[in-house]
Amino acid sequence: MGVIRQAMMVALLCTSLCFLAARDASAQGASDAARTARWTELQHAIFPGRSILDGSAVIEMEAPLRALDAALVPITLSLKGGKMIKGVYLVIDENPGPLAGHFAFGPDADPRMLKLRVRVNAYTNIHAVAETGDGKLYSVAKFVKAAGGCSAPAGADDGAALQDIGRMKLKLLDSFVAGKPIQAQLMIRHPNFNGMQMNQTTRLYTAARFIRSIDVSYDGGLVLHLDSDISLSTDPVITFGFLPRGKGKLTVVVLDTSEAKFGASFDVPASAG
Amino acid sequence: MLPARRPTSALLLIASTLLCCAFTVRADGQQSAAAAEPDGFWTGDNDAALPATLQGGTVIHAQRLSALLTAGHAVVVDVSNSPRRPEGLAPGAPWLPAPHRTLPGALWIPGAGAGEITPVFDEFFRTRLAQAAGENLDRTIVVYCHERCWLSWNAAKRAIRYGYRHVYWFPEGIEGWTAAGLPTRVMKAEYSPRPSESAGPRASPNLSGAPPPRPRLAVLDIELTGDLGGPDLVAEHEALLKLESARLSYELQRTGLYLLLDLKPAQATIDRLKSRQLYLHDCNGCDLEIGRQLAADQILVAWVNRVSGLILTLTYETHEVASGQIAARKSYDFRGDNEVAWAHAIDYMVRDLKANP
Repeated sequence: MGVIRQAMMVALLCTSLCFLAARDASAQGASDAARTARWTELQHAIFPGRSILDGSAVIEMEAPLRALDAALVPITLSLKGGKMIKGVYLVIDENPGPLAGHFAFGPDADPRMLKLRVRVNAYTNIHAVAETGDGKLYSVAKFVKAAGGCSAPAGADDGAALQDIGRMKLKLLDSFVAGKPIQAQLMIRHPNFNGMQMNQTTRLYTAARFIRSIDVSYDGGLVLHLDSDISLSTDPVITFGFLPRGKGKLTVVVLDTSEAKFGASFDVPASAG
Repeated sequence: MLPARRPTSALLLIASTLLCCAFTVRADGQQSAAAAEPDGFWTGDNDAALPATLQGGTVIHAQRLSALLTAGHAVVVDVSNSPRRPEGLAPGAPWLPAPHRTLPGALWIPGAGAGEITPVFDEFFRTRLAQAAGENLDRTIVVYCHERCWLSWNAAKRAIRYGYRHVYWFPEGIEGWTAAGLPTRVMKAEYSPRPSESAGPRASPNLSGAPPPRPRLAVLDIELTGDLGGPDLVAEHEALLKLESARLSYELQRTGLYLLLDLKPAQATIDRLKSRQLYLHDCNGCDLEIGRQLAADQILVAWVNRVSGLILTLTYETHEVASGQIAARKSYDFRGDNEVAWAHAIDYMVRDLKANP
């Protein structure tokens, strides 16, 4: 085999690979237009009449490019830039209920970081829109490859999922110092049935029952209020920051669509044992 | 086809490095061992690892499938789930399912890939496939949903059991198709009964000699989709939509084919739905509520999709209020985002509807 033939093969191979890459890029380009149109449509629906500014100096979002589990896509929001943040909207563009949640921060919040897990129904842009104290909106976007998260069953057994519904756990991620912001991870047992999941045994859609709101307060002062929707994952885990002025109690109230109310209270710092 | 079939060792190294890179980029995080084929239908998690094969059928990949479709005569079925508006969604919470895109010409039959389906739905799927295949078991059937989705495997297996001899399963799904740079179309779901529904009798034929009564038709206002052209055009479009909606109702009335209904008694419902939905022509059948309130037989929704100031498409659909089925749907391309062009399109649509009722 001559050197020339080898060289030709390499060249051909490279050409075909480059060709594939180019096709990929063009496909991306074509659907980019559709995604932009979708976002325009959503802006009209969710923020009618308001303009949204580029938020790269205000908010940063971490999300996996390809999620391992479409029903559990981790999102981390970091808020920076020193602006007073009133709240954050999380929009999953291609989900049928695109507004996944709206976090409103209270005076006792430390709104610099938020983490949650969401369901993603199709390859999508995810937009985080921060609202500052002066009422301005700033957004950033991330593209996530995941599909089918909305109809993924919540678990093997609907009955078991409902058994300890509303049970909560809280983990403090920093050591407690009065007057210093502290991160906390809140875990809530709730199947968050969104009505699109089919019970694998009965072949019937499990009736929707999902968390509508979560209120977190510290010694009576509001930390955060979340209006959530069907895109929040089963057994939500939410990480947030708050500012304990002294020892106290963190109180969580969860409301779901069947009007059930769940409450829990946690000592800060955590009591021993 | 790759030209390097038997490369020498140095070339093999280069080639495999290149290929590995390509593979990792395309399939990052998605490598997992193929599952074994179950004996019957798969009833586990839909997004679990898929088998590499389908007994009695053929696994096909994007480029080959594209070639197969170009050759024609294949029936393509998308069995992806369709989003359902959940009960208990907060009032005002946006419910805006994105338009569903399929392979060009595909039928979208949500539910046909479930592990177990009711006899009624099984019969519906069998009949629908037979109709699409022209009662020919030798027709090529292609089934797909998403890239990690057992529904398509199940539905393909179902087609094999119905007796189709050329069933192709496309496990890469719509994501694989799009990634290969191949085109898609926006498609509506075929009517699919809920698992609890039983087969009702079809509309009985009119046996008496009297002419059938004119259908009671509610015509909703025309809606504008696509590129709206920015804030400068908002007022102009609003006026145009109002004018042309009135023209549409008037022209339809004049055909004598329908008894046109006044929308006023349902105005509160319309306003409420509009506050939640961007478009009533595509709101998972919320328009049927208006129809029921007006005791209409059919609802006509029409919308203009503005691709640009030059390229526009007028589409209408009539929906049966009782069944929720789409009775008719047609699109008309036209040129020019102006009153004359819009009016022309609507006149043509009504003439066409009258000629082919």
